[in-house]
Amino acid sequence: MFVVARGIVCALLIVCSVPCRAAEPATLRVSVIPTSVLAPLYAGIKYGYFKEEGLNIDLAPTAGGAIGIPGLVGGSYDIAFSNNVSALSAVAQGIDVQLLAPFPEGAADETAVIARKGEGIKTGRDLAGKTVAVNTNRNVIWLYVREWIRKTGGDPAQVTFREVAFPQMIDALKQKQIDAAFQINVFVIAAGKDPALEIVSFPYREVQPKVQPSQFLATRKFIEGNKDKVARFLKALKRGNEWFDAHIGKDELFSLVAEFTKLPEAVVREMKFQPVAKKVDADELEKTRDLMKREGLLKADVDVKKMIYAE
Amino acid sequence: MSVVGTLEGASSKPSAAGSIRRRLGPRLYGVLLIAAILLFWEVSSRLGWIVSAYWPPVTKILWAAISQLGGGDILVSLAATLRRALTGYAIGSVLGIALGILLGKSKVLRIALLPLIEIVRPIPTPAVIPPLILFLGVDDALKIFAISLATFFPVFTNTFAGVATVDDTLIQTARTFRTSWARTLLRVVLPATLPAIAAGLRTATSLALVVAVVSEMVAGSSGIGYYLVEMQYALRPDLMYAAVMYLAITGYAVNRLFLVLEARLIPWMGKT
Repeated sequence: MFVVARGIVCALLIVCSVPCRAAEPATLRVSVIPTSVLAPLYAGIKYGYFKEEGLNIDLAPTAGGAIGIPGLVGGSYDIAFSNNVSALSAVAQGIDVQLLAPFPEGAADETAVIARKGEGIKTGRDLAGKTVAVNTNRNVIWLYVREWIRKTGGDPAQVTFREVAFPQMIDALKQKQIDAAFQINVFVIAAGKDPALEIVSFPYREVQPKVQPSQFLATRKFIEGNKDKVARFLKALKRGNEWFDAHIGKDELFSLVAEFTKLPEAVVREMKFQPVAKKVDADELEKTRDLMKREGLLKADVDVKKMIYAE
Repeated sequence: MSVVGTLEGASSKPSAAGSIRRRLGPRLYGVLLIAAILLFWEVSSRLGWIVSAYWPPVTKILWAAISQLGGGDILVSLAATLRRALTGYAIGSVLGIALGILLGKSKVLRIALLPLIEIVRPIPTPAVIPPLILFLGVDDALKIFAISLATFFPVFTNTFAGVATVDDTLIQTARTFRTSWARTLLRVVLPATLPAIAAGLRTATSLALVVAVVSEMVAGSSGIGYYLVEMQYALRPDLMYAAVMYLAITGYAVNRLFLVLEARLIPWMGKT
């Protein structure tokens, strides 16, 4: 009798434990950097879209995107924020990563080449013999500034490229340690207000106006083993995207971005926000791949269509 | 009379200043130098000698530092860094002392391990952080490993050298009394080596803190290293320098604490 009762209790416990476990949210570890393009992800977290999909997003913020892919391969992250050049390099080196989702458009209007005012730097041709700052050599910023120099009559071989972190570029420029810098949004805004500096050009506009530099990546191995989790992640992210699109120019978006980037809200209000791209664009990725090949950044050929995750 | 009175009056004033000077001792000059540098910083920023968004006046930094005392991110970040630094420091120190003594006393171990240690020693720890991400991930394991590695070498080198310089008469005396190997190690070699170990441990304290911050800057999600980079991107140099200030105070306090403990626990330090 006691044995039967114990059996019933055990059976009940097993039956109960299944729904209990199912109710526990699954965790996804996502590497992020403090950039405004991640606003849809943060909106999804803030407004509970991921929770509603049974997902707990464990954010792993890093200061730069450099550790995103190594962290992904090493298993520290499930999904990493990275860029198109790093993703293509990874695939060419046999690291099987896939691009999961598009980001807000408008990279072409946010990143600019800046220089000291009155020194006559207007095009790539004016940079012959000069020094240009990039955040990382042989990565996305370096690649596109070189192409911009070429397109505007210059020769990248005659330009010295120096690695300087984005926050230090303006000071380096003013102290004449460099002659121009390819900068990201917040610092472009700061440079625009500085009487000693001027915005020379928005290189993406001239090289590849529809470029999609930012990506969410995951390894194919992870995606195949966690198809349901990835689908739920993308579903919640889509709602975050919709929220983002609906709040462009509104206070809620400004305060959300100020909150996670820790930027002063006054600066955030000056940023240009564009709607989220409808899809990861293979044609744009092909253009990036071809540029990389020309600069010798890709040794192996990459089929970009296979890199884009299709649900 | 008036001359005498003047002299008396004059002599009483310097005595008050003299007592402050005596109390502060030679440190007064150090404090004055720091005050002068900070004043120069303040003036250079206020008067626009250095025009940069990343050169805020010292008073603004101090205000940011004080405002953090009411429960800001800096103290939470500092606690995370200290936790990592202490854990890594403890692991690296224990291994450094143990291997330093063992290699100092065992020729076999010396032959087996010393070449490896000498090859790894000159590699700057921050340089191994990015490749280590593949094996240790980006979390505490990576940072604590890097801190342990940085701590290990000065502790090991000092301990190893300390063991080698233990007075042979002490060892021979222990042998005469047929003291066991383990007891000789614990009661003779270790106390004689303690001043050398302490010197290594003190060098390692600052290294542990530096490597903790650097590792957080490279692969951080928390801690003061991550906070420093985050504030640079958030256009908040006042908070960035405030964090640096807290870090400097922590480093200074740890060093002072170490000196006090050294004087209490190893009173024979520096005496022959």
